[in-house]
Amino acid sequence: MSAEKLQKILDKGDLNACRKFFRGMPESQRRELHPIAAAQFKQLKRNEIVQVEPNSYQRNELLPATQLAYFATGTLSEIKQMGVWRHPDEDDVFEVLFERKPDWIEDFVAMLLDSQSFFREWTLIRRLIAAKLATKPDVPNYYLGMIGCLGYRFSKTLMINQLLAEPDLLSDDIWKLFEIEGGGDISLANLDRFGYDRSFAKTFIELMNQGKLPRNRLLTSSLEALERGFNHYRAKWFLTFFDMLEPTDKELKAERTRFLGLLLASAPNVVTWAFEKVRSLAGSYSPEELAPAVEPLLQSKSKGLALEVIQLLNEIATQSPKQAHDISRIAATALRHEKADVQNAALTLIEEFGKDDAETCLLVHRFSSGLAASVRKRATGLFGTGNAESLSAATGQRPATGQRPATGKAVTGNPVVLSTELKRLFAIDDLESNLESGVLEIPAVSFDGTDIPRLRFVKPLTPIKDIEELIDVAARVIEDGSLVDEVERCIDALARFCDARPANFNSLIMPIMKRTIKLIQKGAMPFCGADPASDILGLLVAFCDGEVIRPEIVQKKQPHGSYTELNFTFRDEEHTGSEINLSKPPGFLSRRCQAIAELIATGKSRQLLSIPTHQHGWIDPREFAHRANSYSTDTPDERDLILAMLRLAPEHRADALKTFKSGKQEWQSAVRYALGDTKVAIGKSAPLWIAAARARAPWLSDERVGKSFPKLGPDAAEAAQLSLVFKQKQYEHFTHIRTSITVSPPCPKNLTADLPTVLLHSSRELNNPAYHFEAGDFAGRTNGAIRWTATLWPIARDSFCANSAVACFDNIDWSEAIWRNRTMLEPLLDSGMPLRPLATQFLAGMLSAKEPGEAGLATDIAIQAISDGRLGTDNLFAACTLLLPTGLIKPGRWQKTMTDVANASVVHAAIIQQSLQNTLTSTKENWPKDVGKLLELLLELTAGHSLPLTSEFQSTLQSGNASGKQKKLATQLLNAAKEADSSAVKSVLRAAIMDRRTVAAKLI
Amino acid sequence: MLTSPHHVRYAAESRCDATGLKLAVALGDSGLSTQFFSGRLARPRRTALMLRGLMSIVQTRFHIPAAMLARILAAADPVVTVSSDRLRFEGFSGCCGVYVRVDLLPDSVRDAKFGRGTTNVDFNAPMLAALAKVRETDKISLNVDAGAVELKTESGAVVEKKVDLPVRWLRGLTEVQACQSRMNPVHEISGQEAWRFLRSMPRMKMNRRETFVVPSGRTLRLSQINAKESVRVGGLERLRVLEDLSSDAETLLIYTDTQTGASGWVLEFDDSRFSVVISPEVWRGFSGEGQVLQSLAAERSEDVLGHMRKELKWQSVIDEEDLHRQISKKVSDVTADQIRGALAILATQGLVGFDLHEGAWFHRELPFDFSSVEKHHPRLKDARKLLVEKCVRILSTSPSRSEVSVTSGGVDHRIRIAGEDAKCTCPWYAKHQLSRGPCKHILAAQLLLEEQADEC
Repeated sequence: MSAEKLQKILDKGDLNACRKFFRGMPESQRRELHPIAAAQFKQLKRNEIVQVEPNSYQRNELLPATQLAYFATGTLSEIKQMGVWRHPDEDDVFEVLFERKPDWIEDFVAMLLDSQSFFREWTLIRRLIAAKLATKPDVPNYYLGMIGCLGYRFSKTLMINQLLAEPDLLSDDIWKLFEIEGGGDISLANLDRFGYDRSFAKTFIELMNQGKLPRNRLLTSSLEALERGFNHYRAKWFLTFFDMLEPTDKELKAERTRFLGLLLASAPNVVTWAFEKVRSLAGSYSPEELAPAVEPLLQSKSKGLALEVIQLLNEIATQSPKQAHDISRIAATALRHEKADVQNAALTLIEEFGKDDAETCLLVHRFSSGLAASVRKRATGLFGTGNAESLSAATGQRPATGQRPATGKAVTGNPVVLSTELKRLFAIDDLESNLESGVLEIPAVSFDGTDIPRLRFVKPLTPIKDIEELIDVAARVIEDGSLVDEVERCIDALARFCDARPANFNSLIMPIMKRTIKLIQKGAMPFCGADPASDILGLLVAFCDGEVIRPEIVQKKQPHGSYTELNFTFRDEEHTGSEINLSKPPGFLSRRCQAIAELIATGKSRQLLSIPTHQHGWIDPREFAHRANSYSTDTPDERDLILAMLRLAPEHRADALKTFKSGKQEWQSAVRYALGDTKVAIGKSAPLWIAAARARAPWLSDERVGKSFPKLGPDAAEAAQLSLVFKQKQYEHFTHIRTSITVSPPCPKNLTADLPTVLLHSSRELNNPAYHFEAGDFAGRTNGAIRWTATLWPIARDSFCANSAVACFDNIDWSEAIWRNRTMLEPLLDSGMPLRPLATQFLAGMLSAKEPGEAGLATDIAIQAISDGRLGTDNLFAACTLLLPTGLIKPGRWQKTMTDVANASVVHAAIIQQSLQNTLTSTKENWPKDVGKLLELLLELTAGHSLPLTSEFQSTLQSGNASGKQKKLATQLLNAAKEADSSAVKSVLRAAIMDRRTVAAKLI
Repeated sequence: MLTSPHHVRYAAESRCDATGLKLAVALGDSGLSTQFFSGRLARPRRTALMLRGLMSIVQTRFHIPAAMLARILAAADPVVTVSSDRLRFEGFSGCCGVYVRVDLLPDSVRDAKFGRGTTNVDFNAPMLAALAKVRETDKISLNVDAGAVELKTESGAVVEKKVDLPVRWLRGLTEVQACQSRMNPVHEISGQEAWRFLRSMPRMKMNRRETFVVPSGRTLRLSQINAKESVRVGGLERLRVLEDLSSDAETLLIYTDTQTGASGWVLEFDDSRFSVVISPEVWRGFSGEGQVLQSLAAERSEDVLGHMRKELKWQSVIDEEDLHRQISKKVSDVTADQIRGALAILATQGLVGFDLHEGAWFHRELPFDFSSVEKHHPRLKDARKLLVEKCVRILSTSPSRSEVSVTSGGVDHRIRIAGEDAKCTCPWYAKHQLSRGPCKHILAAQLLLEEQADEC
């Protein structure tokens, strides 16, 4: 009867009836009824949320009664399976437990406190304790539950009432809140920050004012909490609370020893706060007590704090001359600080109080190797070079030289004789002339990438030799599409081996085919412009099964308009994706791969033309001619040919032209044209001839092709002229610098998919916010797609750099975690790629990126580019001059990355020093606020390497209306320039010449 | 999640007060001598900072898989090993990706009395808070002794901690030892330069980036290029613990294991060392590295292992050559490589640890139950299962090359083994090759080939 009654109640979902039903029920009967509750609960759990009308959902109304029945009849282990979030309401839970009085109630409380929403259960636990059903748990979550519950669920008045209503909360629990740090959302700091009118601090003070909480204990507990080493965010509450209590001088003095102890705290804000207290109580400490206690603060990351400590030490030393030597020894440890200002302040103190102390002298010498260049001389001057040498003998240390090694390798044997052309291309003539005249200018190499052999800088790729190797490589590529060289090798092998069917073919392909199917079923989109790995999947399907995936653009209609998407069916399943990437370079790859898949499916083996012979997409023209000759009676796929021509290396073209067996077909004429033949009639296929023109002379417009195929966009017949444009947009709390590109000729509205050089401009449509939004995706959304895009036209990467700059500069402050952006910098590592204006601007901008990975890679590139001569004082200066006034650059970030670059060698240091001072000279009207950071860097480089300042920059410094710190730095810089050494200039130039000769010699 | 219950009882909680640092060690059978350790700290502040650093790693999970958010595991207490001349405190992060060790060398303690043994040592919040206040001028003694603490707690209250240690945690703790034994030193810089370098490291999380540490003049810098002499570091935040300590260090030595990309960082002081070993990526615990799998799968010479166990006498540095000589007297034809392999196996049993700085193993017996670790190694277990289910068959074999077919998941995977090199057609191999040890199919193939070789 009871069972039927319960079933009826549950079927109706009558919560009140359910409550009444279980009231006073003995435990044995409850257990008998559990199967009914459990079955109902299991069923309803599947339909927790139900649809009540179209597009409207709500919680299943039958559930509360069933939950109560389950809870009222379950054992602890059954209730555990329920999940805390499915428990009945607090009142119901309490009532059930009160009636059942189970022996597992302590474990139940422990379970509640272990749950994620433990703080929501605190009031229930308090009721159980008050009803003597459970004892008070002594675990952190109980007390954190108190914070969370009072903070989130109670108003300020309710919070006070609750605390007053239960005496043990005030006498015991509240003090535990000073012992437990908390974390995540639940801590005193977090609750008071986001608690609006509910403030624990204010509540405690109000209770103190009412005489309910002892003031002394609040003061002591706050300090004890600070001693526990809490995280800075959570520690802040306790120090703020201490200050809110407005301790009297007497109370502060009583805690003087504690404040000294807190100077050792791990949280920097606690240290700063404690130091303020110590400073205000300075008179109550003895010098012997105070000076050693503040010593650790001399290493503080905060320059201001370290300077204040030195000032305090100064005062102590002045007041207690007996302690002067001890204090100067303590101050000497500040010489380890990385900031020159701190080192200078420490030296000033030492000069006054420790000049005649041998131990201080030893310490200064010990730390001298780490001194900033601008300070080093002062330290050496203080004790004399001879003294330093004798000291170094005494301490067994090497005296600091401060000179970084030059990158120029020592030349052994006879130097290589370079041709006049090579000397011109590597600006060696200019450097030698500068050496003669003593002018510190290190111009970048002058080649444009078409006039030097590029294959010398990259490794050759070996074709895959058999199906076994193909499967190994393909298996790797489908897991990691960023291996673009492997992607190309794989495409090549799939096309070559498509007619090979060894006896064990099926067993060979079975594992990779299974994986391919799984990846496509999981969402990979072959031939949709998504990613090289996805396209390989499509090729594998064609290779293994002979099936070609053919995505189609489908128009979809909706009430508010229509949209297009890409659809394809694979293994009876329909797959849908975006077609947006088809009009971008990865889309070109997809179309090319789909065409190859069609060939593979027919089982007709092919030697593709566009497979790189070297890394970065390069094709040796001789090999290209050899491959093209195999098509003498056939016509290659047009996309394959276009890509092959764009990937041609500049060298060996004449040889290739000689080898190439020309015929009457149009594609053969286009190949001849691409290889440099002048006696060729322009044909009819725009994609073919445009690719040939771009391959032939990437930086020049082709009038003949232009006449036949006009107005097809930038880098069609006409070479694109690109420049970056920066616009400031002011928002309420910040200014956004929007980067865009002006391009001439303009981009056509409808892009032709088979003009890949134009596709590289696909995201540039000025004044069109939608296009701008897509800027980040001009090369796709994966590292693989970006890397592959960089191999599309390796000889001319201006458009790649310009689009990359826009994508990366838009996120230079890392407002969004776009990890793939860094990949766009990678092509700049290629030693054969000239750093033309757009590439240099992209690089210089990224030196100011917030994300350490982006800034770090830019630093690596700058170091390498200076070593191989691609970055010099001229192009770096030009780029910096464009960028500095835009507001995009944070001087502090430039200071950090450029310091790393300058540390690489004296040549690097000189290029940074010269470029920066020229930049600051030419932008003197538009210096950013914190330009001091750049002046600091200039000072260190100038002093550290005895480099000169240009007369223009000196005039700028003298005439500038700088004040405060900038003025001080300007004076220091001018003084440092007086120490400039012409021999240092010559040695830098010699090192630069040696570096250049070494790089140029590789091309002989 | 497979776990191994670990119960540890302390006579009382450890504490640090004005008189000294009293570390409570686990009660019960820990192989301890009565007098475990007592002495006076020569550099109290530094030691306190090192112990806090150790605990900051033990109490941190640098990576929490999404599915495990609700199950933050309580990490085990650190263990202390006392040998004839030094104390070693070892800890392991809850995420199994960071191993930390503090070595207190003879000069770091005065009037020291050394016992022998390894056991858990209680580190609690109040003691850590007290450690934060220790100053260099304080006179602090160090007592690591169950009895000494017991005397102070006449109430007889025992602190009991129950931790269900995941098997992967135990596996990682032992795998990291083998990983260290493969490491080579790459960089050495002065403490001052180390301090500046560590302070200059970005605060931003860089878990998604491969970062490399490269030399730059006389210091180091971070690079994004895997160049020669670079040390790969994933999750720079895991090195933050070194920052405060390095200000006082003499040198920083950096080691790397080229096979896995794990790195070891040792701060050397005049009287002590602080070592941190980090896995190649934050999300990659040492438990999944599987570099010792081949040793485990290989047929063991229980005879050699047995003799080696007998030779372990709490040496702070095990001389491999000497050990080889000793074992050679008892087992004929034993090679140096076999001794090295056997030490790696002993490491998986928690019997030896590896000291990067010394470049040598040391004896200690971790107070955890390792019986289930090897048995439950997922890949090894799966490989053995494949063998039992007769899914492995040899296609061809010769002294230089073997080809094996392994049926798994409805697919025949082809395994090619040539000397040290092995290839498989499974997706796991495609992703990792051998950088994380062999896949289960290669292991199964190797087991079968060994079986066959024995039969011949």
